[in-house]
Amino acid sequence: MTSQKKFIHWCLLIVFPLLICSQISFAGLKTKWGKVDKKYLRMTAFAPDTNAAAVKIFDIGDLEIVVSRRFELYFERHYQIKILKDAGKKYADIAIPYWHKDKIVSLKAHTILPSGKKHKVKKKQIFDEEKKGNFRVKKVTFPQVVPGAIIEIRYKLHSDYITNLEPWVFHDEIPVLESRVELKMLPGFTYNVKVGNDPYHLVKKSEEQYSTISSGKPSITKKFVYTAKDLPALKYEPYISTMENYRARVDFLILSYRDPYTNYEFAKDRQTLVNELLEGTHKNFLKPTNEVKDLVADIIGDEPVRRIQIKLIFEYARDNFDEEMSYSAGAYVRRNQKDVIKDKKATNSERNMFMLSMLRAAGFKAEPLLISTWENGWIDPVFPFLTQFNRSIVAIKMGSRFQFLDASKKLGTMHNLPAEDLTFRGLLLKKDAAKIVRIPNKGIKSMETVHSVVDLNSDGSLSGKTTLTSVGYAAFNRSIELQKEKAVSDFITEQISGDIEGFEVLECDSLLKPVPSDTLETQFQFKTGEVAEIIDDEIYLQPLLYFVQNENLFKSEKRYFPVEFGYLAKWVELNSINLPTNFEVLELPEAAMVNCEFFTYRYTIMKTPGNERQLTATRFLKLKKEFIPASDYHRLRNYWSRIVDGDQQKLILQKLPN
Amino acid sequence: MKQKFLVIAMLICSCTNTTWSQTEIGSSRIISSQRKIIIQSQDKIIVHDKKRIAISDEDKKRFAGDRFTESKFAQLKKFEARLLSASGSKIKVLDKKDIEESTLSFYSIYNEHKTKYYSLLHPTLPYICEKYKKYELKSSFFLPNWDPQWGSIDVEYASLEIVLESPVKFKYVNIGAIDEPQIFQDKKGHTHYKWEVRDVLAYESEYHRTPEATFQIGVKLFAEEFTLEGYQGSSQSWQSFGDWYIDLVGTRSNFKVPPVEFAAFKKLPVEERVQNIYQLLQEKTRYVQIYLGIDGWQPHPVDEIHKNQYGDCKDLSMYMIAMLEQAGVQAYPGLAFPRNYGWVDEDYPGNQFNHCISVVPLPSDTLWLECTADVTAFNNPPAGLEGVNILLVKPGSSRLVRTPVSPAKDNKSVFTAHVSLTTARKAKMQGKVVFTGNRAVGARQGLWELDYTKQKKWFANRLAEKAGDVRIDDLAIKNLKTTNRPLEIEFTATLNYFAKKAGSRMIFKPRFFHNIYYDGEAPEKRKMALYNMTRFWDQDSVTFSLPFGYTNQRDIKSDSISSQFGKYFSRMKPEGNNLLWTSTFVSRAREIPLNEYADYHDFMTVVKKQAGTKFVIRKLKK
Repeated sequence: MTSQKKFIHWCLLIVFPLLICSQISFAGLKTKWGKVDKKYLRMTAFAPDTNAAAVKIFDIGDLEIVVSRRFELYFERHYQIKILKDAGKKYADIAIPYWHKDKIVSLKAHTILPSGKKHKVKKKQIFDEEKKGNFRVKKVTFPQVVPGAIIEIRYKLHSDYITNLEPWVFHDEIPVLESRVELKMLPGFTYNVKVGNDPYHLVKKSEEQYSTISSGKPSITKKFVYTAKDLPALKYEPYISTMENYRARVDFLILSYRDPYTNYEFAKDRQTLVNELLEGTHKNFLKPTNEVKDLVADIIGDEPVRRIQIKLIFEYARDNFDEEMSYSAGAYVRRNQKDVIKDKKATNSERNMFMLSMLRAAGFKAEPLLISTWENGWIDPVFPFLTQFNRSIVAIKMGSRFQFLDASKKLGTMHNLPAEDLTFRGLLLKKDAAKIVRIPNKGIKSMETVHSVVDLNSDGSLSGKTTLTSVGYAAFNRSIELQKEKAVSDFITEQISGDIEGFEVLECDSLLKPVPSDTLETQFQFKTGEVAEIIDDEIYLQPLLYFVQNENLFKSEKRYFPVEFGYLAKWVELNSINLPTNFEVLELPEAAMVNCEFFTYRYTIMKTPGNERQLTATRFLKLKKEFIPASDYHRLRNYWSRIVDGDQQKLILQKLPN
Repeated sequence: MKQKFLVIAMLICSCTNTTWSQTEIGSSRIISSQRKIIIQSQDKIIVHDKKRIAISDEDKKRFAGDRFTESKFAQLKKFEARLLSASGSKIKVLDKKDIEESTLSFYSIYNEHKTKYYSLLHPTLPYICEKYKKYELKSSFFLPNWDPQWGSIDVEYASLEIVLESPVKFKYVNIGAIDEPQIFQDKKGHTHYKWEVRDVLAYESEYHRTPEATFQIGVKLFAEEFTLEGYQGSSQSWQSFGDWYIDLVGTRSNFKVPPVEFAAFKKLPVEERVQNIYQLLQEKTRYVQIYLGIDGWQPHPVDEIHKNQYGDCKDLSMYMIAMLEQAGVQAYPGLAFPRNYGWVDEDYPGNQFNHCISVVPLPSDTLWLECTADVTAFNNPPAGLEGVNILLVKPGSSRLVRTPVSPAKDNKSVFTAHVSLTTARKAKMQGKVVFTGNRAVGARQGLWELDYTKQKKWFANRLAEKAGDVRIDDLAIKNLKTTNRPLEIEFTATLNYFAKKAGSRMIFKPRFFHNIYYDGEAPEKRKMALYNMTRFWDQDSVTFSLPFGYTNQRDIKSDSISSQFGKYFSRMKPEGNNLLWTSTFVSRAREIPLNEYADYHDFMTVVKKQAGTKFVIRKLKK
């Protein structure tokens, strides 16, 4: 060997391993156990968000799948939280939920005081709890936690189940300086990774090398690192479907594994996943059993009208099974047709799949549809993950359109999907022909009208009669409210009359029951306390009773998330007010009208034509958009304040001279 | 003849059967509820609970379920349940797989227990649920009270039977309209005590009812002698019960390795020593509840608490006592039952407590230290611990003592502001609120853990609950963490819909900060005594500047009323273009027995009406 070659040889021998070690140790330095940058020890407030009671210095997840005799998943998580205020101490009581078949194989934790002194979490400060057969919780409580302290924890989870991997969520309710997930897969694995809810492109992807043993041989392989830095705390705002839609995240799906000895397919593409589901648990419902066929024949009887047949089947599925509470399999099912009949119990998805088998028994072209309800968050139609769905419902082909059915609500009807299902789209499960379909959400889905004829008494009280008519989701919501109350009069007082002073029901339909219906109508007679102000010889009355907006729904100056109403709704209030005999109108409220892209609002009050002693107040509000982007929030808020202005006006009556 | 008799007998039987099968279930109710407590020894008590329930409503389906929390001292032996149709045929029977188990704790970090529960459901109503539960208690300390009134459902018949298979002494207190028990002996010579009630109506709450009013009918039970994990105790007197507690605490309240830092306080006057150490406790420790074994009663060793700097009420109270001992101050644990839970009946020594504080008896005063709340001031326990019986646990001389009740003047909320009204009916205001005593504790509790944005939101809700929406432009909170000083909040705010428009007039309510809420039942309907958490004094002084072109319609207006329950006063006085509003409401009434309720109701009705007075300003005509 020439001296030059020798030199190069020695360089490689010495320098290269150093380089490798430096890669490893560089990565290790950043997340070395117990190591804290002095600036964080000294930190007393977080300048970008002085409100923050705590801040996550780093949060690192390490996901590794290894192959031994079987596939095994190791997930290690390591984070540090700096406690800044007393309110941040709650982050020192940690609960780690995990599936009961998995295991936390190692855990260490300690508190690091501002002085640098460390207090280890002892074994007796770590507790295990479980909901049997469901999930477990590891609880950790840190000692010596004061504002200024840093809590640090690292734990490792082992699982034999790698098909449904938990997503990594970057955001938290406190600011996060760095959130990182590293995905280490042995050569041979193919997989999909989806970054979601990241409109501002906060998540960056990079690749790093690391050394490992593969098929018994040392090798250098890649790991994929997804990092997001300087994440603000996510804070809840009203009129939002779910915060899950706004937390940046990474989802993983293992597709396959191949090596010289093994060729294993986990999933290929969405269609394959769908076919697997249809061949798997959902298969139990695709072909109706004889028992189901007989059941359907009994239910339908001689009914010839197809629409009514659907109704009968829907109602049977809705009414004849209790809700399974001990587990929730989301969009998946555990029972089969026989089990559902025997147990008389089902999860939402099982109930709907049973309905599907009944519909098929009746000859309908019914297919399962996977959806993600409001609280579960939006789906990404591009990526194949089925874990993004949390409910199976039914789609019936009716000509060129679909009718969608979900029998999970006891008070629901076949004409309206539950409100939480209105999430734009679902995945139609068909063998070799799965597709994303739109779930229509057009038109007014909820309407409520109140019509009252009232007498204004000279002591400022009211007495009269009201007819309430609720349609669509309004009827459903009222039925839920009615179900909560002991008596119909309580329902009227607590749920309808709101804050009306001294409201008392004199007569009502005591037989009114919460039943599944698209309409709910009821009448009641009532009296109130002093709702009008009497000041000297004048009476001041707010002519609206039930739908008054006393404050703007949108209080915050700024808003980060869109406004989500969920569906379009309409409210109409019509009040005929008989004036007290010795009073006349002095001033009437001004008519108000707002017609913008978000809603239409009209309020008028005038003397009733042909009746000088009666006033008619009419209020109309109709939403035009159910989804309003954050960029339009300011205008929506300003327009809405005009509704409040209009609603709060009072009329003035003056006593007639003797 | 014999044959005819048989035929008749069969006919009678079939008629009876027909009658049974046609029985209607009727409305939801508990048809019968039977509890049998068999006391085999101090350490072995078997309880049988049997119920038969008619379920006809969707929201009553939950009564066809049960739960039991197992611990070291309580073990479930059996759950049985079935659903029957009106004809008596079985619809569903509880299977082992229907019984779920969970060890999850929600309030505690960890509570060593296992909860077993089930819910037996059937989609088609109505049906009858028959359920049975058998469990064993391993100490007479846990002898359960009997409350046959089962929430929001009527009870046709309920009974409690205690069988003394061993001569264990116990005391009982009858609650409500319940007769004395029948006492008899069985063939084996065991003494039975049996209580029965019929037609008990569903519980209905009332406005601000006293906490103990939830227990309307039933029996309280206390074992006179008991053992808990080898600690023998007696509830024959408060002293004997206190002695047992001292035994239970043992040496846990003494430092094995005394920390040196507390001795340094010895140079201060006694009360100052206590105050300084109390402040240290509040700053450095946090509330964490961990129950293992009898940890529900026995505190963790103070050395451990000192190391971890966390604990629950008894841990932190013992820790406080241990620290004070190092500083040369004698203190004792005080077992308490906060007023918002109920009342400690002094005639029945025994297990009536769920909380612990530290008590420092001094020659001229007693210091009461609530050790779990950061928001309470030194020697100023929260309202829930005012006027209650506390067991002062002292070796050989434990006794019940009554905590003082703070007068209204110590619990003030004083609001001063200048409000400029605009023609667009907005109110721009600048002002200050000062809270003292229990008013300060309440405000601190609300604000303590919030960040600045949420504090503004809290204050916005507090400022104008009914006055439309509020923007807090600026908020400065003083003495939030300095609990021995009044809490002061200075603010500037804009209330967008403060005044209501009425043609050329504007109408507004001057008393917008200290709203008066009273929703008591009409006296003829009221059945329970009334309870207000604290005495207080609310005071307002607001100057309203009228918008340009508007004028006040009235001269001076005053309202006032005074009684044994308190007083209310208000006055609106025009001063140029301003209206000066002053108002005071003093509430002295904490507990109002039923025989005084009508007077209290009249008083509060007038106060509420006067406090709701509105004012009108009018646009000047051109």
